[in-house]
Formats: sequence, structure tokens, C-alpha cells
Amino acid sequence: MVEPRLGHPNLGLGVGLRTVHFPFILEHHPEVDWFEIISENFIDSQGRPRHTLDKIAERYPIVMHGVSLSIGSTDPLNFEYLKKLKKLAKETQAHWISDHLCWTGIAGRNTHDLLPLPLNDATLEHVCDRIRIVQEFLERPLILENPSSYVTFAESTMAEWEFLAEMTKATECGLLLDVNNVYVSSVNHDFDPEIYLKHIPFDRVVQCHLAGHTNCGTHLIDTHDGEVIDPVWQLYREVHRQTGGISTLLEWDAQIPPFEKVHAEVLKAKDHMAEQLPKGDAAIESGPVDQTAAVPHPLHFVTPEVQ
Amino acid sequence: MEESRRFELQKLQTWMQVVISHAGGIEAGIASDDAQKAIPIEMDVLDTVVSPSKNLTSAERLGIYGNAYFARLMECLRESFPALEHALGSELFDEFSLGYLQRYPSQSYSLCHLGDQFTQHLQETRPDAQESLAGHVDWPDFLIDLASLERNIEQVFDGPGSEGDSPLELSQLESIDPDRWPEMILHPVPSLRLLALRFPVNDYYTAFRQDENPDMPPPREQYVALNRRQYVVRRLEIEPLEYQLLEKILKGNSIGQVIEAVTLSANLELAELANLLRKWFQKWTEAHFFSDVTCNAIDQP
Repeated sequence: MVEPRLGHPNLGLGVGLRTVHFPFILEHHPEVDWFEIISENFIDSQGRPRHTLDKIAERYPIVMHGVSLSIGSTDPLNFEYLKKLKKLAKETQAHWISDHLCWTGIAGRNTHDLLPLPLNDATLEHVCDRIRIVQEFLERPLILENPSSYVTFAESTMAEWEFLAEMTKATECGLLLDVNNVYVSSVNHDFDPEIYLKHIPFDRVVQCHLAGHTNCGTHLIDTHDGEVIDPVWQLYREVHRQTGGISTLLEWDAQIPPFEKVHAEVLKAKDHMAEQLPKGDAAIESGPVDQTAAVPHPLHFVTPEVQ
Repeated sequence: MEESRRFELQKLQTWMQVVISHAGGIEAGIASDDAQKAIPIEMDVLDTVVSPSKNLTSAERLGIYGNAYFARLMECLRESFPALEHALGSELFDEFSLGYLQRYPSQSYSLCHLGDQFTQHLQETRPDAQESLAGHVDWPDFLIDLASLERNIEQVFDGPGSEGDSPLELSQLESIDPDRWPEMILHPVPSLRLLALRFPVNDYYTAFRQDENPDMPPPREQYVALNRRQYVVRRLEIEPLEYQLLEKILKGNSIGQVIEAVTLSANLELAELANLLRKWFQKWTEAHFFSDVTCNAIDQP
């Protein structure tokens, strides 16, 4: 029998660590349960970002979340990159290392986007082969997230939830279930998000992501730039019921507000866990905006400090 | 995975990457030779590869990735080169960025390296490349120098540093008998970089950061040392001769070798240079340019 969360602890309610919040966190030591870092922003850093991370890691549990593993690409795996991930995980005592079920580039290029895969037996086998190699190298289970996506392929023969379930069964990897991504993809691909959740092997879910998105009228874009809307919280309630409690993390990557607001947003999860309506008005889907103004996650950049 | 199926996935990925990163948009991307080589398909049967949704056609769905590709990367370049964007104006900066991203698409797992070849790209695509080779200085040099300054600042900010180590103190230098100065080797901190610029772009950068809306200045040579202390990048204007000395010190030359080379080229009296060195030793140690000093004759067995 599989241990819940693959034996990982429920870290509580965490916040995605962003550089704009560094000064506030170092000065005020807010009572956040844990932080998730974007691995690529730190694996090469020899300056302020890494120094700050080391200080934060002394006080808070850290989890590493990457955007460039490219587990689904047909390019060879980048072992230099994996070596750096492993080193940083050791140095920060990261609880786990996650990335996305996607590919980010081919022919040596990186589009810096989380591109979707055709979901069929051949891709499943390809992805599973690579997960096993990565897990063996990292000497720990890899945790993979369901990405938001905007296309599906004619060659797909299985639903995403089916692919995820088969993938975790075959490789014993963990899942990072992003309920905002489930919702975004459900609108974009015309499926019922509750059916998606019904098929998720919850004993394999190690972590949950929450975020805001942008309504473009005909589709949704995963922009991580606002509050979590009510239908996404409803999915979160179901995840909480099914898991009995799960490490939960809020991502806010564009138009980032002060730290207290970001933290307050993830703390709303407490009310949902208690099956209570959160205080204040529920956030609903906003009116549609121009698509060209909305850039999907990930967009991570560290601005230098200079005098 | 069977090789044939892996090949199929590879073709699909090649095709999609070409299509979504085509500067002419999705339709031009699908029609391009590279995309056609991977999957020979016309727009009217696009749904045999990418499925439509209830609300969007296959092309519209693919277009979401196409829009995002350049938008995301150009946003990063704007963050990397804010003063250059100011100098060029947003429209022209975007044009340069678009050209750059097509010529030098990202090959790194990190966006931190996205702008690594931007200065080189500006140099390669300058409209008057021949004149530049002849020593003529013009506005493209201003843009190239400004890009170089901003790129170097970013690299110094997150590159190797010496925080946590004690810097070389002036008293350590003063304790060395001036007769032994020629044997001295100064060890620079890893973050120290020197820039020789054809325009005063360091002043321009300062004015930009102070929201002074600067115009392009007339050409004037400017020499700048970049260093990092307490994780903040510091910019220090240095004199041309100071630049020459520091450049040679950074190459590992002893002070004696440096003095010999500089007095020959600058036609300077030794006593005059010794006075300047005293002044600059103080300035350099205050700016934490060096971590240590060794004297060859003592330290070598």
C-alpha cells in the first residue's frame, strides 16, 4: 500500500517565494508554513537570490519547483541541470523536487513555456522512461504537476487524468495537483473538472497548487496574477476531502501584491478546509480581457540591485 | 518506446516549436519549410494535428502559445535592459528584441541567460558595421555600450562574489615596503569587472534610474569598474590610466610588470605614477576591489 503523500509531511499553507518579497520576509519573518522556490532562479545564483534563500531555508521548510526539466521532450535529458537540482536540494534540505508534465523545447532550444504532450501509450512510455532515469539520478521520487494547457492533439487517446494515473502507477512518482490548472484546462478543453478529480490517485498527491487566472472570454489563461476564484476553491475542497490534508501552495507571479495579501490569499484555504465560506465576498470569474495582454505562467525573472 | 513512435513525437515537437516561435505568426509558421519538413500540413487540415475546442479553432488555440512565446521573452529582455529600452523607445526595442530572439533563441534552462548575446547581436546587426571597424563612433556604439553595461550589471549581481570574505585593507598595502611594490600581485575579487565605453553610458544609466528622462549624450570615453558589495552592484567611474593598470592587474601581472607597461605606453614619470598608485590603492581598497596581496619573492619557494 502506498503511504499518503508518498510519506511526505503535510507542510501546511505555503507561498511561492518571489524576489520582490525578499526584504519583507527577511525583516518580518512572517508566519508562513513553508516556501516553494522556482529552482531555475537559484541553481546558478551566487548572489543575493541564493544568499536570501539560504537565510529563508534556515527558518522555513523549502520545496523546489522547476520549469525547465522538460520531462516530455525528445531531446536528451540535461544531466548538468539535474546535477545542479540535486545539489541545491541537498543544500536547502528541500522536501521534494517538482516540475511539470510537459516539454519546454527541442533541438537544444528552450521556449520557456510548458508545452503539452499528445496523451497516448507511446508518450506515456516515453515520459515514464525519463521519469525513472531522473528519479534514479536524483535518488528521490519526482513530483510532477498537471499543467494548464491551451491545445489538445488529434493523436491523444487518453484523458489527462488517465495519463497521470498511469504515469504514477508505472513510475511511483508523485503528483502536484494544481486545481487552478485543472479548472483552466477544463474550460479550454471542454471537460468536467470534477470528473478529472474523481480519477486522480490521491494517495500519490504530495502537494496542491492554487493560483489566479485570466478570463479571455473564449478560453482561460493561467496568468498567476490574481485571487483564486470560487470554482477553483470548490475543487480545492474536494482535494482536501480526498487527501485528508495536503501541502498547499499559492502562486502569484504577475502584478505581485505586497506579501501580506499573497499570504492572506492562501490562508483562505483554512476556511475551505473547514467547509466554511471564507470571510468577505467570494472571488468570481472576472469579465473577459484582451488575450494579447495575458501571458501564461511561467515568467520568472530576477531584477538586479544596483547603485 | 519504439523508435518509430519516438520519431513521431519528435516530429510533432519540432513542428510545434517552429510554428509557435515563428515571428510571422501561426499561419506563416505552418507554411514554413522547417514546419513542413516535420509535418507537411496545410491550414485547412490543421485539426488533423491540433484538435479544436468548442470555442476556438485549432489555429486560434495554437496561437495562444504563439502570442505567449515572444511576449514572455520580450518582457524578460525589457527587464534586463530597461535603460536600453528607454534609449530606443519601446517600439524599436521590441523590434531589436524580436530580431535577437529569432537569431539567438534561448538554449538555457534559465531565463537569466536570455540576454547573454544581446550586445553581440547589436554589434552584428549595426547598420554601419564597416564604419565601426574604421574607428568611427556613432549612435550604434551608444546602444551597444549601454547594452553591455546593463548585461554586465546583471551578471555581476548574480555571479561569483566575495561577501563573507575580508577585503584587502589599505593598511596591508601600506605595511609593504615601497621597494617591494614591483613584486606585489593584487588578487581581485571575483565580481570585479572593467568596462571601456565609447559613450558616457554610466552617466546615462544613472540619469535613467533617477527618472531624469536622459537623451543620448555626445560621445565621450568613459571607464567603469563594476563590483559587488553586500550583494549590491556598485558602479565606479575610473580614469583611463587607472583602467589600463587595473586591466593588467586583473590579468595577473605583478605591479612591477604593470608599471613597466604603463610608463612605456603613457610616457609617464615613475615618481608620478607612484603617487597615482598611492591614491588609487586607497580608492581600490575602499571599493573592495581586491581580496589579497602577495609578493612573489617572499611567497615563491
